[in-house]
Amino acid sequence: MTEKHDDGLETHTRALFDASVESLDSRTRSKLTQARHAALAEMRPAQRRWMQTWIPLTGVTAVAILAVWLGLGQSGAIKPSSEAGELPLDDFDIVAENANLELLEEVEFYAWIAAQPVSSHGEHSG
Amino acid sequence: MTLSDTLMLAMRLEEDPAYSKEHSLEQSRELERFLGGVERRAFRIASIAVRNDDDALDIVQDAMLQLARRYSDRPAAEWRPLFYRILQNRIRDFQRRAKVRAKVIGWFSIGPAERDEQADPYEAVPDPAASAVDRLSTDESMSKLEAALSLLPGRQQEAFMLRNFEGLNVAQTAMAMGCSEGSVKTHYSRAVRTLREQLGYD
Repeated sequence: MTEKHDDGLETHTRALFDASVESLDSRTRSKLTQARHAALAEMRPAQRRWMQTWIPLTGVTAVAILAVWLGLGQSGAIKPSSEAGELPLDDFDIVAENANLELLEEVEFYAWIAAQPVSSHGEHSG
Repeated sequence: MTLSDTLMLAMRLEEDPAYSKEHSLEQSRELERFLGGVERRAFRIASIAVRNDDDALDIVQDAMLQLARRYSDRPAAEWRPLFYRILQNRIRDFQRRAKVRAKVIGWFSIGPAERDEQADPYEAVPDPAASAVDRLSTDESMSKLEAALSLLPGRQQEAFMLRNFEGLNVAQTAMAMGCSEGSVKTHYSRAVRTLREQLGYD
């Protein structure tokens, strides 16, 4: 079925249509401009959606990495170090466990014990 | 995308909002140019199809919103057929609802004019927009053309307006209408034949 049968109908009707578009009244043009601006305002949140998706995902990933790292530390795969500047995992366990709260409450006492000089009999003096 | 890529990208967006903003503005300007170029023609197509300027404005606004919300990140070359697809879907939805409304009104034996008066008393107030319609109706040829187009089956009307008025090619028209290219050719050919008879081009 061919479409090549323009005997003036297509050209004439297209010209009529174009003329009717050009003669649109100012109220309609104004409404269309408002509609366009409203549509463009809707576009911006759609673009931000990308960031709204990825940035929280990045946060979740960072938390997951931290959790895995701590898990490896507890299982012994990462040796806790008492070197200055490194995280002492044993101390972290102490802080995390409720059972050792009494120890934390008496930490000053144990610090004092540790500071006492040891006698020749293996006992703290004082 | 690897985890490190994701982190790097997120960091770049965090550290360089100007990059993201510039990209967004450019895309926004491009979409504005596109919409500004098609909105009046789309309005005329919608007004011919639904025979009401206010409804046509609503339909065009909805089509523009949908394009901006859902497809603004697609390549600009795809916007035209996508926009007209949304527009034609909205027109079809409107016509479907109008048919259902007419049936319901028929069941309750309430004339459309009477119902309109009950629903909206402001309908009787002269509308400044009517002057535009009146001005167009003075153009006898356009009036005849619109009348002839309104008598066409919906799909033929769509094919004719998209192909002839908007200059979409067969593939773009097929995408906009959601049918095959063969169907577009058939609908278009039948529309031209009917219009030729109606408008006295034989």
